[in-house]
Amino acid sequence: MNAARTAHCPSDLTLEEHLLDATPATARHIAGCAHCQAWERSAAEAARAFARENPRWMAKARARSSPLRRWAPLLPVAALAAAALFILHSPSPEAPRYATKGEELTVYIGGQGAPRAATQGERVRPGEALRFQVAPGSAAFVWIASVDSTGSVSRLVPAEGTTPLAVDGARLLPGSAVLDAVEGPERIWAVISREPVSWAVVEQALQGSPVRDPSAVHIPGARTATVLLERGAP
Amino acid sequence: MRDGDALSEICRRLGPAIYRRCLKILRNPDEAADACQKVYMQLVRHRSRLPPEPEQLRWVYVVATRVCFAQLRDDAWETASGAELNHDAPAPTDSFAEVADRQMALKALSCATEHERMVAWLVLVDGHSQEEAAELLSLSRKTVGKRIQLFLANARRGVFE
Repeated sequence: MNAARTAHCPSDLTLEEHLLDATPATARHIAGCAHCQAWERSAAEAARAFARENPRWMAKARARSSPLRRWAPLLPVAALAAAALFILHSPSPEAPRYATKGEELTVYIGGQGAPRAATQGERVRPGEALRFQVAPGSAAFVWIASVDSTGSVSRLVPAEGTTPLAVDGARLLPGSAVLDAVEGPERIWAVISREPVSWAVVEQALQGSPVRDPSAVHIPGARTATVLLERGAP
Repeated sequence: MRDGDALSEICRRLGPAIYRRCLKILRNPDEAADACQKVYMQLVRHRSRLPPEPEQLRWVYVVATRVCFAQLRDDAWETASGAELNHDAPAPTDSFAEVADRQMALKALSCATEHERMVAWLVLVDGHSQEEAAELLSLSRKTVGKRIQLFLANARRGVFE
């Protein structure tokens, strides 16, 4: 049986607002209220059902806002210009051509060969395992999640429970994720906050987000670090 | 950002909230999806004068509420039965007391006008204060209070007679 709403419970609208813009007072209430925890669980379930059943709604943003499509006629010119720039300003061998990792998130890839820290856009293969190191600097709460090319969100760390992981300083997180045979881009997110943010807030913010455009994700009250991986067969 | 892009972003950001709102009132995933489309049409129609981002959730929440109650009203006409709401299907986890409470609430709702239902829903189901409900529906607090009183009086009469 669902717990009944109490006189202290926030309204449904306030709970919805909390999912978009988390507030410490509402978070504190939810932590101690069975009714609001049940509301949050059913909200996450409904959001998943909505994303599953109405992919076109969620995909509209991706399809319409694609800058690639808008600038497609200029791509050949841009490619020529980029090639010219690359020839003129080829990086030195010591300098990485891509940002090697997020400052606050490092994704380690293991399972086949020596473990390595993932570079942005690194190709990863089925069966390889991922581990995560975060360095939020000061005491913080952390969620690790991934988003695939369809915008589906997977929760990675902590795998269970209702609260994020408390981390102080740099820490290699417990647990790992093993890659299956699905191909395509996958973005790993670390969501770092001073106050604990519920998983429902994180899931809703990441759900349907364009995998190649991290700038589309904003989680109020939290900062993010991200690494893009390209999943595929060797 | 172009109009279309801004609208798409609003849909992505608020889509789940709109769906949840519709599902809570209509309790049927297909009908909730239909209602979401109607809310989307309203967003398209009002795209040039949508409120600023912090107020958009509140705006679509009210629009979704109105759309769902209008849909319930139209469905009731189509089925030629004022009590033909979709809330009578018990969930598998519902206890006997919950089903009985819901049936009693249904009986009360079926006696009310659409305006009374909407006010009663916001205050008694969603947990808004009368002031908040008044603000959401652009009514005076006094009107909301009157509608709640009327709803409760009719409900008591309907239940006890």
